[in-house]
Amino acid sequence: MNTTTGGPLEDRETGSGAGLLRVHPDGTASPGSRRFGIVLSVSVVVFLAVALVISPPDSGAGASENAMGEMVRIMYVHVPVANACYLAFFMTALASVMYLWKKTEGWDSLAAASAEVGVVFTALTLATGSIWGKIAWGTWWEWDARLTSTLLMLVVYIGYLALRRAILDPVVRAKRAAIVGLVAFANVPIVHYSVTWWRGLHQEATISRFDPTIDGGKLFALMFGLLLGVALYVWLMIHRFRLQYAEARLESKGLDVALAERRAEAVADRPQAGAPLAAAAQKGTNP
Amino acid sequence: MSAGTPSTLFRDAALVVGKDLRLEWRSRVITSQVLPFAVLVLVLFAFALDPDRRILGEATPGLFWLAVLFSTLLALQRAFAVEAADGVTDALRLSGLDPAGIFLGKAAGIAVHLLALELVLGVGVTFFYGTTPHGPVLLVATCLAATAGLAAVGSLYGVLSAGMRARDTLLPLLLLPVVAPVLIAATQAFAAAYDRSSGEGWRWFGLLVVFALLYLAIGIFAFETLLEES
Amino acid sequence: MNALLLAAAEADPNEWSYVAAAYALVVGVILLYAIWTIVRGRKVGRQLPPEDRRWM
Repeated sequence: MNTTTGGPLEDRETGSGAGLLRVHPDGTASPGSRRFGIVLSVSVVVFLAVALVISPPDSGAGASENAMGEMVRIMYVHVPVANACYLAFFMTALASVMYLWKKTEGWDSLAAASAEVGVVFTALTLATGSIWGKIAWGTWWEWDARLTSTLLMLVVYIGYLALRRAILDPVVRAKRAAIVGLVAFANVPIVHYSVTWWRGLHQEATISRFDPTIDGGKLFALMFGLLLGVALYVWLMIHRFRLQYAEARLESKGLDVALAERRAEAVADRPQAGAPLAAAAQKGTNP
Repeated sequence: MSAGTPSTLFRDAALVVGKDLRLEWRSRVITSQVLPFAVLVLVLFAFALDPDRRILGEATPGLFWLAVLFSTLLALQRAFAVEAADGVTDALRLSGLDPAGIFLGKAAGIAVHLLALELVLGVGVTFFYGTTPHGPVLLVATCLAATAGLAAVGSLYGVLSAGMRARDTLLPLLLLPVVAPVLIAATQAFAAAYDRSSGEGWRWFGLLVVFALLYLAIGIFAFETLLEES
Repeated sequence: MNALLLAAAEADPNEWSYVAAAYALVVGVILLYAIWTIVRGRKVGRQLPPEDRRWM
């Protein structure tokens, strides 16, 4: 199967740029995505400097006992990561609708890629939210409406990815995954409302003992983070989508190869018809 | 497969319900296996929570709906395993019935099973946990709305996971997070009914109705795509 | 005055460890995920001819 791809490396490297922009011949990078990645890496370093060092700690809105102090810095990663996970799942839902309408493989690949990136961002949203909660509430987990509905959303999309792995036929998988991708997104507001009402019943809405004033340097750090979160999502999606696309191509190729092998088998088996069991048994012992 | 007029839609749905109920009448898997399982779950809850009647009484709404959810999973796996084994999905696809009608029929069949289940569980919690039911109108309305929602999501996901590798483990993972709002809303509505504060309960009933309508709409929209595949 | 002292007491180095944990987690996980994606991409790409990878 690999015979067609064994060309000399030099041939495949043409047009891939030089120096920093040289991309791996087999990879999912292109000179464009490499440029983007370099800009992004520099931005991350600048962001870390702004968020952790340059921006001031929070001194609270009026009363200093409401101050978040250094903890306000967690907001600069938590909010962007949460924003990116909603963006990712919105993209999955959009691509799912587009797949059901257009029935083209590309939309299915986009939905799958975005769901996986979204799951990573959702897990990070929960983790950073939980770390923040440890300070705000004193416990790692509180049945707060937003944390709880985010957790349910994570499980729903883990189920979506599991479904994709469970179906072998690409067309069947694409259709069923598109429906689940749509249902999963329709589910988000319902879960949110039910969980909010549920928590609202037994206790007053969690009164945060922190009341940060997001302005000046803090506002800049937050906006920088939001922008960077979206950019990171886009960069990850470029690579993840190309991977998904390559996997789909490989899969259809594999199907073609399997079909050709089956046909060759049928032809080869014809002379010794009457002993198919023996042939099958032989194949089983000698893969 | 063209979308039929409303009359053919309901005729097709009635045909499918009739088939599913006849199948259950002859095999009696739900009656002889899932119903006893549901009662067993109630007994296990008592073991887990100390047979102190006060705790069981307070937790009755939640335990009732949890038992319904677990039994729903079994009923669904039963309903769709039968179909996958005999290639009934293919037969339905070729039957020329309206896909939306097939979906409504499947959902109605499952709803009938669930209502029977809820009746048995309702008697069970009254008998074992000593909970006296109040507000019968709210209780019945909640059961109907929650059942419609569970049946709609259940038949959508049941067909979706039919003929799939690892279906038995995947279905709970897909279904349970989606029906979590039903568990919350139905439990709260029941709790409100038992506490005789039904005003709060009707708000939860409203959420259950919205849930049921949304998933019935998605099922009607999606079933044609699901059936035409492979 | 008391409130100010309290605020000062709260701004202990302990807070920094939570902040550091959050940042390390986010940066680390995204980095690992990016590397994993690129490695998977190369593995799959190796089995495909360049004409099937149109971004090349």
